Amino acid sequence: MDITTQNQLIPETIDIRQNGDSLILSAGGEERHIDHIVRCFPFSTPDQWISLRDQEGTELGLLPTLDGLDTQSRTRVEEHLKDRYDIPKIQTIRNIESNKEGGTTWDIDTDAGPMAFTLRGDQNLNLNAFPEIVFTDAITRKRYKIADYTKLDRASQKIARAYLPMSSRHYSGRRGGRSRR
Amino acid sequence: MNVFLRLITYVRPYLGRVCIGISATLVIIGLDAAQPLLMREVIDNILTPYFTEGNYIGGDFADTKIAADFDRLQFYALLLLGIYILHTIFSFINRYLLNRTGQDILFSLRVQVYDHLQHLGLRFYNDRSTGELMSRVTADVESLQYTVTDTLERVLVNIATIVIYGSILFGLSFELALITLLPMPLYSTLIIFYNRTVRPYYTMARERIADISALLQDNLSGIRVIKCFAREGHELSRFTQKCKAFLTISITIIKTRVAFFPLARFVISMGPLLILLFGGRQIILGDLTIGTLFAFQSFLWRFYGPVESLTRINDTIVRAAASARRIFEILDTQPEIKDTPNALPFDRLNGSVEFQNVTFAYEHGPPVLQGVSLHVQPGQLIGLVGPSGAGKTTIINLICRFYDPDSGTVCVDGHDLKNMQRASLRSQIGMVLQEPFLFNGTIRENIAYGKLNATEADIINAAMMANAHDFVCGFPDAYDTHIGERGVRLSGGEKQRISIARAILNDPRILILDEATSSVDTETEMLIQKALERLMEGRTTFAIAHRLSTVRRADCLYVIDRGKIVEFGTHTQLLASGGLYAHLCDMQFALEDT
Repeated sequence: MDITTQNQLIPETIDIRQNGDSLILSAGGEERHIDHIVRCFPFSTPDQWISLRDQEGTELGLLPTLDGLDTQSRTRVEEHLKDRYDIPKIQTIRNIESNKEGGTTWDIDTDAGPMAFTLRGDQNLNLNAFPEIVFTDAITRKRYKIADYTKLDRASQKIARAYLPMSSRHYSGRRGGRSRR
Repeated sequence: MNVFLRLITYVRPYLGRVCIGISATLVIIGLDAAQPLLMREVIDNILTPYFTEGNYIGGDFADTKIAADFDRLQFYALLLLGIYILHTIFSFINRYLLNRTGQDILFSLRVQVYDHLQHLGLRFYNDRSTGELMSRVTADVESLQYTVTDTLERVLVNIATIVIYGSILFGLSFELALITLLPMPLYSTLIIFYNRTVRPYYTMARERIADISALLQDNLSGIRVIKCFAREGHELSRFTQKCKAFLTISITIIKTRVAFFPLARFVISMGPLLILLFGGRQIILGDLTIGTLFAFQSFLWRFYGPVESLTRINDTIVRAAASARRIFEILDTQPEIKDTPNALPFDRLNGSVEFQNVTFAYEHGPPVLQGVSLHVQPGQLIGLVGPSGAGKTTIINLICRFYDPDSGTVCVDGHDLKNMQRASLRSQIGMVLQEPFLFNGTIRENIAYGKLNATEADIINAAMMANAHDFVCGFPDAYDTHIGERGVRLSGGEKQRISIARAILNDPRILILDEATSSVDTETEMLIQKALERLMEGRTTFAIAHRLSTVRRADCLYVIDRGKIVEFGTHTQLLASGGLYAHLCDMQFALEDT
């Protein structure tokens, strides 16, 4: 049984429009309220497999790609995704210190101003799309990202290098990391 | 083969590199030797003529001789500068090549040990703790760092030095050179005695370190239980005991070493003493010049230096041998289950399974299966029921060919498993266990474990069939969520559904369900049960279940007791027969009613 085909939406045949604060999905002659939109693979393939969900979390449909959506629908989905997934971009790393809980506290400057977050091991790091690096605060679960580690200033790179579990693969294969998107 | 010699064989792929490295060392020795000779030249032929009885007797700097001497002085200074530069370059070449080779050897050794471990059977793992094996792959391999390349270099260089200076000594005085060798038998005896004494201590030290690793691994994995039972004090005491055992053996090694090295030095010191005595006697008798004795004494220490150095290398070798022995012990262990040279691969399985009069025992224990025969058609759902320890899991172990039966045959699709390639069998068997094992990685990586080239669509599809897609999409990072070691950030039911998705994606022909729904709540059990029903479609399934309600609809139930099939049939047939199954059902339903 291939369930994906049941939930899978064909972008060309649907319409997503704004109705007040909420989005409405029109597909197959039916209209449903979209509560939130989820990226199934937010790091590895963020622009594919987009799940549209209602208030109960039930999946209304799964978009394999945004290509094929009409311009307005696509804009609505992208805006929604931007709101949900837009995370502060780290511009400089000012300082990293070990803390009493066995983790590290990072003092950073982001496009939204100076901030700090705590990491407790590699599980709070995502290097899947290197040179993009995503950090998840171990306490607040808020996320921060370095859009391109190789473009970070040298001082920040020097501070971060000792705390990032990067191997030569991340340097030699960084184009590969990008191409996965 | 001697353990150290066997270790040296790992140098073979890097022989060219090692030869260049050692040649660089020999060049460095030559450059070192040239420096005093140049200094002697400067002092004797340029500087000394300007002094007589300690007074300066030089003249006008316009003097052409002085100008010429200045030129020569500058020439020698430049020559020395050239030597220093060459020394630096060759030191870099030597250090880089030998260190790099050392690391390459460790890398290949570590990978080889890991690869071998993967191919060893379950019997091997039954007898060993995870921490102990981890210690061998990490700490023991690490302790060999520099041993192979550095030791090889030092042995060759020291032997070369001994031969060169030995020849000079024999050239200066044959008799005195023979006397120089007099302490050697005693010295050699001491080394042999030392080796025999210290070798077991080094082995014990490595074992104690492995004990510490094993306890550490165990306790860190079970830290919740330790905290729950408030046994931190007890565990600290156990850990301290293990560390004390290591400390004790370390102190014994220190005592042995500190006793040996000064004693060895004392024995060596007898050489110059004997030379002084016999050389002095020869001078008094007019058989030897004072200059020769002086030269002989100077060269004597240059000869003994490498001899002493070899002694210290011996200590390194003994220490490394203890680690190497533990590593080779793994590499020398042969897997008890191997593909025969003529083993054939399975094509896509239909899924029929047959046991013909199978008897099996673990190691030297009593038989856990006796004369078991069963025949399963492709696509059937088979329930294996019976009391704990009856032999249900052993039947599964034999189907996966983790073990071979002691007698009888296990056939899949009509082929005796002994004649078939294990990988082609196991790649078509899927397992969903009571305690699913997930790896430290993302949900995506865990689902795709059995099919590394799976597309996102495949992964989502499998997750949907396993009723996992919705809860996965509830996580902020969805399929890219890191689930922690053994999936610690997921609930039992979530882990189980991820493991079902993994099995679905692998598309096995034979499916094994080992109490797959026993440790979850009723609602989750329902979700898992639905997922399992999708997974079982069109596959031969063996389900082990203590909760008999979960296997009611099996095509055939085999009731196992004390290693024998005591009855088989459908749920209805077995209930009607009033045997062990009916008894187990009565007990279970009575329990559920209360």
